[in-house]
Amino acid sequence: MNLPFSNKKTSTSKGCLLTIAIVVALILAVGLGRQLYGSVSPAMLLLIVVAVGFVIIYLLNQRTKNFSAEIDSLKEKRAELIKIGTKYNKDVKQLEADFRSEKKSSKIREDYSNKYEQIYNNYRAESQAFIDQWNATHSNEQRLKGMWQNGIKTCVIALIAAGGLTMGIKMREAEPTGVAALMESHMWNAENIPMPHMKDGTKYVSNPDSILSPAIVDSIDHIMHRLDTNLGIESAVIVVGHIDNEDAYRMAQDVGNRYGVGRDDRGLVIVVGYLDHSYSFATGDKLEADLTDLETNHLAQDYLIPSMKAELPDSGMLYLARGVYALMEGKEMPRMSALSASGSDDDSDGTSDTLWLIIYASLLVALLIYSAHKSHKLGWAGLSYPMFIATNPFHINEGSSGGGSWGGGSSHSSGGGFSSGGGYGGGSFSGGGSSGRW
Amino acid sequence: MNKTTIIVIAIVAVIAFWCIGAYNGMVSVEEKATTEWAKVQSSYQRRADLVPNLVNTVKGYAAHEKETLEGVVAARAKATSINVDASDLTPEKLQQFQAAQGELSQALGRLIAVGEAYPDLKANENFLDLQKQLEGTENRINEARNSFNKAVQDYNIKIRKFPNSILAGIFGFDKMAKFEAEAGADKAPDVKF
Repeated sequence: MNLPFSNKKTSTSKGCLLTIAIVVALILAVGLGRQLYGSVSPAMLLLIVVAVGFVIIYLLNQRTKNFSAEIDSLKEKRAELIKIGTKYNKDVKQLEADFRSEKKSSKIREDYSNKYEQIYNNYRAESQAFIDQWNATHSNEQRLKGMWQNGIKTCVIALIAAGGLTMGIKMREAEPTGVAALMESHMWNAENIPMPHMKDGTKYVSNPDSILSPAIVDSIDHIMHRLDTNLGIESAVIVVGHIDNEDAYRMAQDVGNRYGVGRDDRGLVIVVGYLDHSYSFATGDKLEADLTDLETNHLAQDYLIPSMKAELPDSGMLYLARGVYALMEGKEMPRMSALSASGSDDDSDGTSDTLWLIIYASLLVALLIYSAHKSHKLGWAGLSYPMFIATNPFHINEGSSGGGSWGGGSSHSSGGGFSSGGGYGGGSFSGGGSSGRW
Repeated sequence: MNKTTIIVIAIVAVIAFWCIGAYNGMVSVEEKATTEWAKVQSSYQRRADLVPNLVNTVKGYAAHEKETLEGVVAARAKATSINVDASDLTPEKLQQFQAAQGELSQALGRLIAVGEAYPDLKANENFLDLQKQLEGTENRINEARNSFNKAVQDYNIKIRKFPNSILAGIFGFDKMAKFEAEAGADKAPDVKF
């Protein structure tokens, strides 16, 4: 392929460097995301990146204003460059017309091809001389162009890195604590289980083995807080690796009675032994009528067990909490299809991986479009790509090599310019609820 | 009023206050035990109420398991016929009550085992729901029995300790019976496949 501005080596090495920079940024971002897990939220990261991007582009735009006279003159030069290209295209067309009137033979075709090459080389030399002369006399404008290029590249890398960082955080969130670590974990019972609600009235979930991700714990806390304040059902949700004697029932009852979960005996204790594959619901004495054993059993069968079998504790517990709330509120229960589709992808603000991906991809596309628009507006694109350049119509195909160039030099391919207190209410439990294994 | 009279009155007053305190304390623990006993009876009644539904469901699939079905109905009738008043909780009466409920437990165990032999029954949603309810009821019975035993223990300790034992004898606070582990309950069941 013929390229009008044969800056190939430089452009290839620049392209390689850019690719390497992006890949390294992506890897570092994913790794950093996993380390920063818990301290940086994806939404905050997005906000930072967008703010930095806006500042960079704003500063560049401000700087561009100082060069308005040069840019106007550049536009004039661009028009001249287009004239050179137009003349070249006309010459090629004339050559084609002449060729059509000739007697066809491979010899004549070769001659015409040589003539084309001659015209093309003339065009290339003329264009290059024009651009070189421009570049030599407008170093400030060149610097500005370089700044725009670097600014946009920085924005692109920052966007990709932030996207990678977000994915890293999400991966870390989705990743349950290692089974090996859990195998050595405590054998929990009502006496040694930490109860966050005793210190902070808005916390209902006890997750000492970190089986649930912090985002899911927050979500469940939020649901259980609503259950408490709106429907008067105080609850405790306990998710651990191992339970003493694998007896989830005993633990649920003991926790309920020991901490007095539930005001007016309307308490609910949910205990899940993730590695024991056991669960238990304990309903307070006066809650039994509203939340029957059968209903708790159906909640477990519909939401908890399928997710636990699929090793998705986040999904199981989140949908179980939603199911309990919906059931007690008398509303439609969440559907399992929704559960399997989103699963642990849900986070505290309800944004899924796919949505984050779409947000970053959209920003990237918007940035590239803006860059192309700016480049065109400032005339830099025109200086590099005057117009569509006619290819060699007489080229004889040799293997897979293609025809002439479509003016697409790669040297500038990235564009030119552009709480409350804690404690439970003193409820009592007498064996209500349901228990089981998966 | 001489000094001796004052001392006697003071001693009598102290004794009277102690008697009132001790008596009220014993009444409290007795009341707690009788409340727990009421919970035990209510849990057993809850189980008895499930039996007709369970029998009817099984009958729909295994009508010829007449012996098992009749056994459950008879055991239920016997268990519900024995009512033990909280004020009359003697070891004999409690044992009688426990034996009758134990018979019902065994009969229900056989009934559930019948379900295993009938795939259609085993898969029947109503039967599964009843099984789950029965399981919940058995849990409640266990909890109620444990709470009752604990309350009785507290009561018995209270009335047997000196000097409370003197007052208990005067006011008729008798020792209460507790649930004992059923024969063979300490041995794991022999499950054969």
